[in-house]
Parts: sequence; structure tokens; C-alpha cells
Amino acid sequence: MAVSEIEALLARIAGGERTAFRSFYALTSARLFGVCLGVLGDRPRAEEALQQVYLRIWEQADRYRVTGQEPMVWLVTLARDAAIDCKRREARRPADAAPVDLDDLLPDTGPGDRTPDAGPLRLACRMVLPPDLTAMLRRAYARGESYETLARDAGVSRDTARQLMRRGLKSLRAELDR
Amino acid sequence: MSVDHSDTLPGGDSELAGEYVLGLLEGVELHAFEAQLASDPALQAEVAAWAAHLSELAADIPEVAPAPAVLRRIEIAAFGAAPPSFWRQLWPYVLGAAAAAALAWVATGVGLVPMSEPVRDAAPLTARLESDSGGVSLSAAFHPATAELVAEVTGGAPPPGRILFLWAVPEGGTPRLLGQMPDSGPFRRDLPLDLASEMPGAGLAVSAEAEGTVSPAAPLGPIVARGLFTQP
Repeated sequence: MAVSEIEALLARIAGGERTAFRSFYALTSARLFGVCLGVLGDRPRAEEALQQVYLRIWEQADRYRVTGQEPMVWLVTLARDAAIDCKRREARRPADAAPVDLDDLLPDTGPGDRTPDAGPLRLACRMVLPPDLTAMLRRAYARGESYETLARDAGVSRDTARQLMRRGLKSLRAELDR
Repeated sequence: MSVDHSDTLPGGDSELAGEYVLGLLEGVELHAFEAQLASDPALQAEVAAWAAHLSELAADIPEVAPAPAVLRRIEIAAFGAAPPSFWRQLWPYVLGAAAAAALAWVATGVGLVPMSEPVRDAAPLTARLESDSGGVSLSAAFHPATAELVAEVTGGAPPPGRILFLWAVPEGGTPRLLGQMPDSGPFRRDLPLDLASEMPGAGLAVSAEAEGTVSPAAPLGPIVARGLFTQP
């Protein structure tokens, strides 16, 4: 999906064009639903988050230009934020729907990841992060896990997990700046 | 730096911005960060940079198509009600024509009105195309003898950057693209036989398309005028 195509559709959505909204949904919904499902882990809640995302797009498509971001960055950020908000709101309520298998959704390609289109971040991860920290970063991003969960799964204290993560972010930032 | 962790944690605001983008900040710390973010352009730039870099990880997440019902729910929430399809937007007009045709059939069938086929065949069908919102208006005529359709803009102009396209909507049929309206002067086209035979009772519609996006299958842009062929 071409950036220019998405931008053109966003401009038409900002003008209130419903057909543009439908074309835009057809182009982007599978990607954004994947993001919501990764964080929330079950379809009903992911659908709820997706609905919030597209309502915001319909109402605030004109704000896209102000952010100065690439359209997919803006969209994925909207989807993650909506999903993480939803996850936090319902943290105390157990999911009543059958959870999807997150390991199927997010295959752990690990440090040997040789994705051909590896961008600056992935390259920086390979350069400066230990594999287990890369895995922690990916889980935090794709599943919206809290420090508590990340720490428990890593078998360390919350403070240790946070120190590791912040040290990792610092190294990444320095590597990305080079 | 109003949120300072340099004494206990590695890094500073940049790492905090990264944690914020990851959704790892919570409670008081989250609120303090957002308060600072609201008035700190440098921190906003840091958040934007992390969001852009980390979004690379989204490429690992498989795409999953949502259930078809989700789009319907979103459209009802966004547009207030189920949006009308192109065909349904024209339906009241076509329904009116069908009712008129049915009435005419009943009237002639019971001998109330003498049949006058030769006269009706020769006279052109005319249509006035108007918009709901006062955008563009057109007049159109179809000459059954020559199968020529003529249409001309009589008022208004296309929205900026848009091009007007004329569509025929045969009764009970799907929209057929007739062509692009010229910038000035009338649109003229000799219709193929199958389409010409469907003109009595057919609807006409004008859509405003963005340049280079017109599809012959159906209008993508908004309908800016519509009308119905009537007998003289």
C-alpha cells in the first residue's frame, strides 16, 4: 500500500467523504486489527479498539498532517494506543472470550532475524542489544506488556526489568543517532 | 527536565519518551510525563522519533482481517446511520418512475388513456439533474430516434480539483459510466442499443471524482446531482 495513496485517502476523509473512508478501511484494517489483536489477545476487545481507532480517523483525519509523521506510523500508533488503553481499562476484568494464541501471532524470530527489509531499528537492535532484551522490547511493543509481566516472565524484579529496558533504550538511541 | 530519574535509572528524558511510546509508564509517572509533553516541543519530537523507529516492529505483527460486521458498526457510529449505497441514493427517483410507469400501464390497460406510441417514440426524453445541497445542476435530453444523449451544466461548478462524470442508472440496473463532462459546452454521446433501450425511466447521476481515480464500476466520489428521465 503506497504512502501517497493513504495520504490521498486521508485528505478525502478529512473532507468528509464516506467512499474514501471505506477504501481506506479496506486498505488498512487488516494491519491495524493485527496490531490491536496482538496487544489485546482476543477478537471482541480487539474489534472494540479497532472501532475506536477508525472513529478517531473519521473525526480527526485532518490532524494527520499536523503530526508530521508517516501515515502508517501515525495509524499504527493510534491502534497501539487504543489497544493499550483498552487493555489497561479492563486489566481487572478477565477476558471471557477465547484468547488467540499470541505465539502464533508473534513468531519469535529472535536475534537471528534476517528479515530482508530490516530497518534502522532492527539493525540497531542487532548491534547493541542482547537477544533477550530485543525479545523483551518486541513483546512490550507488540503485546503492550507491562513491566510487571515482562519482569515476571524474565524471572527478575520489576526494577531490574526497568533498568535493563532503559539501558537498552539508551544504547538504541545512541546507535540510531550515529 | 521536570521528571528526573538520573539518580536511580539509566538515561533521561529520551528513555522516558521511549517507555512512554511502549506504554510502559504508569500512574503518577505517566501523568507527570504527559503534563510535561504538552508544553515541551523537544520532548514531543523525542516521542515522535521513538514512535517512528519502534513502528518498524509492527511489521512483525501479522495482518488479520476483522469480521465484516466491524465495518458496519464503525460506519453506523461514524455516520450516524447505515450509509446509503449509490443505488439507494437514487432509489427514490427510480421508484417514482416505476410507480408512474405502473400507473400509466394501469390507465392504458383499462382504456382510460388512448395509446399514443408513435408520438411518444419520437419525442425526446428530458431530465433535470439537481443536487440536494445546491452544488451542480444539469439538463439532459435523450433522443430515441437517434439514440443520442446530450447533457449540459446549467448551474454551479465542480468542487475544486474534481471532475464531473455522468452516469446512467437504468431502472433496477447498475450504474453505467457515460463519460466525463467537458469543461464547457454540452456532453454528447450516441448510446449503444442496449443502454438506449433502458433510457425511458432511467436515472442520471453526476459524480465529482478526484483526478485519475475514476472507475467504470461505480462512482468513488460524491454524487453532486441526480435526476430522472421523464416523458415530455
